[in-house]
Amino acid sequence: MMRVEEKTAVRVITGNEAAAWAAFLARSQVIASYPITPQTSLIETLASLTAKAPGRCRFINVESEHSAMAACIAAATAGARAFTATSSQGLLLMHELLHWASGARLPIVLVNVNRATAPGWNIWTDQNDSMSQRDTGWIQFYCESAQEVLDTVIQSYRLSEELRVPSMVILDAFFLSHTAEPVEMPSQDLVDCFLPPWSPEFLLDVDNPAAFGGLLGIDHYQEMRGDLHEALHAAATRVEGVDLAWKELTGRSYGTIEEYRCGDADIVLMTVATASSTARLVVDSFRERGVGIGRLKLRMFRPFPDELLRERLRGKRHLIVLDRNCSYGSNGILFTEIKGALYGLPEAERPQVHGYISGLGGRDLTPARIESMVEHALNHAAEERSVWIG
Amino acid sequence: MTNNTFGTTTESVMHRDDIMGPGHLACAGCGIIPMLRLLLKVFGRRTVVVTPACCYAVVDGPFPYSAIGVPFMHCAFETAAASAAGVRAAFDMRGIPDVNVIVLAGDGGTFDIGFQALSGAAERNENIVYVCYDNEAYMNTGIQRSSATPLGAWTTTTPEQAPKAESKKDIGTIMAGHRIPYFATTSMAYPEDMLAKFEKAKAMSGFRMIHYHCSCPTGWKADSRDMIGLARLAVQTRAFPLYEILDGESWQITVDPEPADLQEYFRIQGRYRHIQPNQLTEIERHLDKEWKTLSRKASAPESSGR
Amino acid sequence: MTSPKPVAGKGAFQDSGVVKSVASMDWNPTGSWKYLEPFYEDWFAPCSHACPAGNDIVTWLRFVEEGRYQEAARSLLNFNPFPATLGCVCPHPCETPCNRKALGGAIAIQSVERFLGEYAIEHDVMPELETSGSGRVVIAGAGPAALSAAYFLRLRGYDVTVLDRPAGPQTGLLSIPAFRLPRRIVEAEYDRLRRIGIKFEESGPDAPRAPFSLNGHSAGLVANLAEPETEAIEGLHHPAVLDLVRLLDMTRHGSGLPSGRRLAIAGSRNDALDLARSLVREGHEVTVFCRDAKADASFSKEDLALAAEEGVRVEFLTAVCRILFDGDRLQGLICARTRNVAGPVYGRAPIRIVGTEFTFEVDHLVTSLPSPKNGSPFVDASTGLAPVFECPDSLDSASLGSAVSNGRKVAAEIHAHLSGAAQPAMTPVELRGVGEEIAKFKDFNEAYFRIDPGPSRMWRDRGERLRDFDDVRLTLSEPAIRREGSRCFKCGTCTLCGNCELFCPDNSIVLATDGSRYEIRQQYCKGCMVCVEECPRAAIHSRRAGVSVETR
Repeated sequence: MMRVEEKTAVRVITGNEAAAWAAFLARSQVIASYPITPQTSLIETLASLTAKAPGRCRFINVESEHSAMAACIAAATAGARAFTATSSQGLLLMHELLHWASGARLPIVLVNVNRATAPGWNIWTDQNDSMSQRDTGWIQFYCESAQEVLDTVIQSYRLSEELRVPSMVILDAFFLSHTAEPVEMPSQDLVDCFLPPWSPEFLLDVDNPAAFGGLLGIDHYQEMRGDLHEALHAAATRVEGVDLAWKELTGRSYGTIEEYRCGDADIVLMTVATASSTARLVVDSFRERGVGIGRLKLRMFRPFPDELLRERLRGKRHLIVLDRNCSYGSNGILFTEIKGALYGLPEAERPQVHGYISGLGGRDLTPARIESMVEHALNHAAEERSVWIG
Repeated sequence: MTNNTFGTTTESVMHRDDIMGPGHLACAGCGIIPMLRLLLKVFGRRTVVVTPACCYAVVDGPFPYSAIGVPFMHCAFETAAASAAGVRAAFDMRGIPDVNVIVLAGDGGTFDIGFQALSGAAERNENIVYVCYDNEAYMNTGIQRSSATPLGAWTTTTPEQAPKAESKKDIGTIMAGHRIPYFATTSMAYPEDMLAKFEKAKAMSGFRMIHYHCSCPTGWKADSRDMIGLARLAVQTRAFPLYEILDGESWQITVDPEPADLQEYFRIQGRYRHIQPNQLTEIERHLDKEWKTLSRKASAPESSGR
Repeated sequence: MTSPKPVAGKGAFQDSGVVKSVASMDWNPTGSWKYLEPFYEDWFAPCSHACPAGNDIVTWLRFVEEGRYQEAARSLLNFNPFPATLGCVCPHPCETPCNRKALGGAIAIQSVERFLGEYAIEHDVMPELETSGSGRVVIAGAGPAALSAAYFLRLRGYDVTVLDRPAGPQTGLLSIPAFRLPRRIVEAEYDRLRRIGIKFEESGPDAPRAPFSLNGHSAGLVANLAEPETEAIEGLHHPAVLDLVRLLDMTRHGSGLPSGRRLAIAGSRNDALDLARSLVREGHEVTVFCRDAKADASFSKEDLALAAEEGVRVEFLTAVCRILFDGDRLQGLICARTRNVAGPVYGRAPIRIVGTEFTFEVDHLVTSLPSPKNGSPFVDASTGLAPVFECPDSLDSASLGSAVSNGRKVAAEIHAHLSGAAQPAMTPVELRGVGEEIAKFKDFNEAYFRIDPGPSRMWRDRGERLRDFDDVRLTLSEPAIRREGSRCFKCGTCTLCGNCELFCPDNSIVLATDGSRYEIRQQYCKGCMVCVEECPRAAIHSRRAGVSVETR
């Protein structure tokens, strides 16, 4: 990898601004988006950045999120790097086209600011909007910091373009979207080094005409979907290489999962997104009391890194899963997913899995709340269902 | 000097390169194809066609085949205009701005489910050509009512006992309200007029819309051989007048044919078989009123001088 | 046709997972969907069908429409030796069934023919001479059919000699009065015969019926003129009874005309009208007695109307029975009404109705008298091995077209015999290969035709006409002629108007590589029949799918 000598600058920016800068630095050629709280400052930043650099990017102020994703799909089909950002209801409106984007194997990058779904109206964070899109064939990253948002958006392009699958980069409403942090800004050269111009093998080309997305019969549909499934799975390992390449340039990497004091722990607390930072404090507090606990942050939710998780959780006694979401009528989504993954371990090596649902609609996941989950887990046998923590 | 029935434009366009091929899956007598063939002859090979769910999405053929010789993108039902905007943006940003981006959509994808995206793209004056082939119902799904279905017509969701009680949505006026540079209605029965409009649209930029009255023998319960006769009668009876609107304000009736009897138009279509004399009178009155409104707009002083 | 169907399963997407279609659909034989199939076949235009000479009228009207008079005249000359003549005197049955009648009046086909005939004379347009035939043919007789046969044999390349009476070939058609057929036209068209190389020989003034030796000839043709029928009238020998043909000849020269003012003519051929009209111009009062009903008489309807306008009285279903005379002076005629009796015995012969007799006072009666001099030369079949053909001929101007057609047919027979060709092409229409059907207006798509009125005035005013022997017909101007070309529907004929190709929803109709016609790619045609419906003029038709041309 070419070394980039240029000095990097540090800016204090919000998660939304970090996402906007990343999309800009990644040289997105077509951005189509529709405003929704709490994503608005993201696209406002982008509108301003792109307006100052005419000819670099077409910013389309579409009339809905549905059209935003439609325009991105079309732009990517026509060979352009496309970006959009949304939240909650907007993501749900895009749902049909999320399937389309992945089915068409287009490397679109979407930033979703996690927000609760109506009714009643609630603009604060939870993960039901994005986690309910888990079967649409998109890679999903959940970010903990503004820096991670910026880095992940840029990484996502590379990963998506290599595998021809779209990526969704997710951050918590307000806790991250509107919280300013110091962020190391990579130079344009550095980003260009990491992310060369996208030259797709398949695109709308007047010199080589082809039709995209036509009728697909019984003889082909399943194979085509199988290809998508395999491409998604490949992302679980491919992401390591992308992460490493980024680390070479910037010194930063994140992995699929991030472990904190898990090595000697026999109790593991599993979290995603900003709750992971709080969970780290909780772990420290329990360690001071002599409890052998660690924290595992799941960064990549799709593809689900089940193999890695089995390896890391083998032989642990308890796994405490924090879900800021709920699959109604079932359980917390992570709880269900991890239980399914751990079934691949011999019974004796499987940890007991304790599931907790909390923090919906922006309710703060304070250290005390997380501690209460750990206390509960230590004092109760694992329950079949996720336990709701108020 | 030309032998051609319609004139030199039609003749010269017919001599151009054929981009649309045979073997496609349209019903016998489908009105889409002759129009599409001419459209592509006019716009040429540096063209991308975007098509939402509609008859043509099926007609084009199954993977790995396509009846059309230009890049072609299938898109979701309600996204045609937004998709075309995306394609346009991509080509512009990739430094290939001379490609024509054309939407080919049915009336359902235009008047109904795709209406929001259409309105958005029109309002933003996206540099695309939006061609709606209007066969006046959801034909691909088996003849269900759309907002383009005319007053009194039968469809499977407006059965004979309760035929469509509302008149056809006036998309022309709506589009005029968007102040788009060009809107035109066309009919295969008047190819010279249609081709002039295609050429006009091609020479302009911004959001251009062609509203094509597309005969559908299958859905109209008519004999396939009457495909063109139906198109002609629709214009003659003023059920589908031919006009154009420039910049949303200058209206022009482009074909003012000898009027024909509405009953003759209805007689050859099963979808009007149930029509009683009083209903016929009501529909005639409605069409007269629409024609008067159109004529008034076309003769308004601000529409002259172009 | 097989579909390049991709192998299902892994690899169908070349491991790309992208639903990308690059192959065209033209492998797909959608033609198998149909139960009706279209086919091109030119049908008879009703004009051509009605033309006794079998003229390919549509073809020359198409040239006329484009102002290509040279080609129009040549195409006319290729099938008609006397276009200007026929353009003057033919009763033009072609115009009666003209489909244009419904929308502005029949095409003035005869006027166009006359125009082209005159154009050919003026611009020296010559027919195309082939060289396929070789040999010498001798023709006895110089009536229209004989000359037509000579002409068509000459066009095939034969060395042709026509034997005639000393007065030369003009005698036949020149008997038609100049106000119907200007003399210069006949002369010019006869002159053309000489100029293409037909030889004329007199068979001798004293021995008009002497046999001609076939020695040295490949074939002979005898084309005797039909003797005019002599009516059964008592007292025909009276000197006040004049011969119709002789009198016609005299009116032409303006000498030897009868002195009496009131004349009756007994006859039902057009020459009776010709004479009557000539005589009214000389100040006579003329009544024509025709035994036949108006519908059965062989008068041209047009000439009849003109004659009536010019003051000729015509009594139909009336026969002259007996001549009343007092010495040299003719007192009057006993006439009787007739009626047609249909039946195996009578044919449609008119018979006199007893008790209807009446007397009619006249100074002269004119009718066809038996003449021994009308005989033509004959060929002695015993003088050689060459075959001898026969052909009926007639000087009746109303059947000039049939005479031309008879001449062409016998020429085709002779050519077939001499060249060994199996099936002689009989008419231009057959040569062009049209179907047997006649294209009717109901077969057309009316949407493509508008009302377009034809020329309103065809004749000089009556008063003006009666003052001289000049042409009664007003000739149409060049733009008016051209307009007739464009008014013509070109019934049953593909004009390459392009509707079928334009409207075909299956790209099944393609122009042949030489651009001369359209072809149907039946493998794609779904049988919607839009092409058949939208063909303005019935040049495409439908039949059950899968029926080949051979078994149809």
